[in-house]
Amino acid sequence: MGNIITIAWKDLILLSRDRMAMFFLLAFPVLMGVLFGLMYQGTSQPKPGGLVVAVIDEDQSKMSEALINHLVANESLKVERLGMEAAQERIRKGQIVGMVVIPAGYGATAGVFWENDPVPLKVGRDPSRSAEAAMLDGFLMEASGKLMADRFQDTDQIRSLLDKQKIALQQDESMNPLNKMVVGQLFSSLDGLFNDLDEVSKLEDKEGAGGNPLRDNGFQFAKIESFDAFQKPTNKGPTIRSGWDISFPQSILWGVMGSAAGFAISLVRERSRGTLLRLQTSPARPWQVILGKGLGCFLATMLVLVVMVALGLALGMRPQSPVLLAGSAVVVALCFVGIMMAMSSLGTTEEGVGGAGWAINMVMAMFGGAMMPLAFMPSFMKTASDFSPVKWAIVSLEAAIWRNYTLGEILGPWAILLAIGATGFAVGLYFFQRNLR
Amino acid sequence: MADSKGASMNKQPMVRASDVRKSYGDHVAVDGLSLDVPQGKTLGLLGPNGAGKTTTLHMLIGLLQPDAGQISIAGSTHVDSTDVRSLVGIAPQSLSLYDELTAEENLKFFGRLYNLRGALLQERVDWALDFSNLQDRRRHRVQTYSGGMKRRLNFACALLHEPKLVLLDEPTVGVDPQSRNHIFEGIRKLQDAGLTIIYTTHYMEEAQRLCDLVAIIDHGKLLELGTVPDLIRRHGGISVLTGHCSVAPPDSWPGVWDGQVWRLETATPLETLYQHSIQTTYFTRLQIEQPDLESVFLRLTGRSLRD
Repeated sequence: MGNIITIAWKDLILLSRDRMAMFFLLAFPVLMGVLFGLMYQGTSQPKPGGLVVAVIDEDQSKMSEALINHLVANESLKVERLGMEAAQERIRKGQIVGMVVIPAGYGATAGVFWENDPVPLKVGRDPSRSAEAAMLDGFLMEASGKLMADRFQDTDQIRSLLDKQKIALQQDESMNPLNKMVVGQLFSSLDGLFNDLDEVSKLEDKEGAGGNPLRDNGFQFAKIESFDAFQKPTNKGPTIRSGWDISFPQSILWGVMGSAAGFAISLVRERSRGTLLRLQTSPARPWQVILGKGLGCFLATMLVLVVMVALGLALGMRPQSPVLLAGSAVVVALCFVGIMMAMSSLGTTEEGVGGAGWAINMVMAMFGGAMMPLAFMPSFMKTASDFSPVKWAIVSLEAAIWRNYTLGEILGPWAILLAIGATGFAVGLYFFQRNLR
Repeated sequence: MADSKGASMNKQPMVRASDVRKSYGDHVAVDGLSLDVPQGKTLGLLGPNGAGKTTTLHMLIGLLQPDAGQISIAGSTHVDSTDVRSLVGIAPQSLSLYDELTAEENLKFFGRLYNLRGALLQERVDWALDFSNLQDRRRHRVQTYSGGMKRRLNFACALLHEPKLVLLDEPTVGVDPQSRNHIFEGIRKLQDAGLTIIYTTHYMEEAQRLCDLVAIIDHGKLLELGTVPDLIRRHGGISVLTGHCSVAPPDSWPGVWDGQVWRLETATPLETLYQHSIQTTYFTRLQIEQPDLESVFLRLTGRSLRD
């Protein structure tokens, strides 16, 4: 055991004196964590004015103004009233997501559900921001729905439109008589509904409680409420307390990968510098040399995890289960000790192992969610991510920080990580011993 | 009884290789090597590149297993056992040091691997720093050292645990004359202390100066083993007398005169001069070319050591 600790301690001292390795071990993950944390700050609560959009009102009607007001009221949107050229210029420069053109005549048919040929809204988009443009479409549909509700709440206006439509229906010779009868009955029913509403309103006026029942009862086409999908009924308070909860697990992995790559290189460096020969001829046995390296890598990885978690706590990250987080940290560190051993067998020179090691790290990170959150990945990448230990490491850390896993649930990711680590260690050990012969 | 055992131990060679063979595929690296290195003696291992020196050294320290034959160190054939490894110190040709550590940290690290701890470790580290003349640079990182300083530290690391057998693989490669002399002085001290040394080098004068025994290896085979004078006597050839003179020497003198230079090959140059009453003042310049280890090597291997 003494030799193992001696070798591990020596490696930690060497690591602490390698500025580049320390940068990738600690500074780089911190930078990644802070950067992504700031990006995710809006995850737990709505982000005001996140989507900037231009509105060009060519209609200048009461209804177009009402539509714009609904858009302005949306906290996720920042609405700018611009001319066509100015809006196009802003889109071209990537400063806004797109523009909504409200054409002349829009107000006459907006929100009238029986209108079969309404004047359409026109949406100009930045082709490179299709996801945000789709969100804009959704917000426009929401505003249009509210506009329809507005129509029903103003019974005078809706009855005027209804009267015009009834006249148009009577004059329409092209319509199938059966259809004409059905639509005519619908109009009559609506007429009756609005008459009833007027009567109710008049009666309530006499009793001093006048108003429109549709408006006063908060008529809506659909009501949507948000809730935290991760929150269990028994839990109180939000599960994701800040963007740090999301950003730190993935940024921690950069430090973990840096540790594995650094120690893989150091193992090859022992050979290229000749110090391995001195270790081999000392009373230390080869397995002690390997375990010493592994212990050094494990401790360095744990250091990364502890520093990053401490920083996360200082910034506002609040792990749900400190015990499971500690368990995940140990399992992740053990897995990457194995990966370090496998990496060390990728070449016979420091350059070779360093290059190949980081190339593998990049692929693991890309598919595992350390570069881009898994949620944003296309489906084929999500499938491929199952083969990346980075994914399971992130899942294990997230499970303890905000996913609210039970011990039984987290054992799956842990088992996968330990299996990957054991396989990597065995492969690395095999090649290490083969190279000694 | 105890005396009898002690006498027996002293007679036992520190290193014994018996008909050792090692091949890499079709290439035979060591072919039936047999040699004994008595305790307290210094053996020079000479051979051109690819002769099998490194393979031999690696088998001696247990890094390689021979395909056939047997190696014993201090009577034990378990050369890779912890006990035997504690008896052996090696200064590899490549500087086996951690550049980012200081001299003191390097020494302490290697000392701990040999189970040195506490006061004993500190004592040995101080001794090694004195030995390598690096006391004043003990807390400086090795990466700031000159080549000679690194070479001295590399040497000291091999001695930290007080081994009985020291393997020095090209210990003076790339060092300045001052460091070279320092290393020679160190070797002399080890010899005086009774250590057994195996020394590989490309420098014949070093082997001639430091080694009690010289083994010449080529193509994996031991060509000769003996003391330097013995090897020169047996394989060095004869001396050559060369004299420059403008007048033809007397007919009674042996040798050949080409009009400018008189030349005579003889095994006993001084006796020949005396016997034939050859007057040295007759020549403007007279020189005697005596055989050395280089000529022994050349004669045995057919090539120079640097080839």
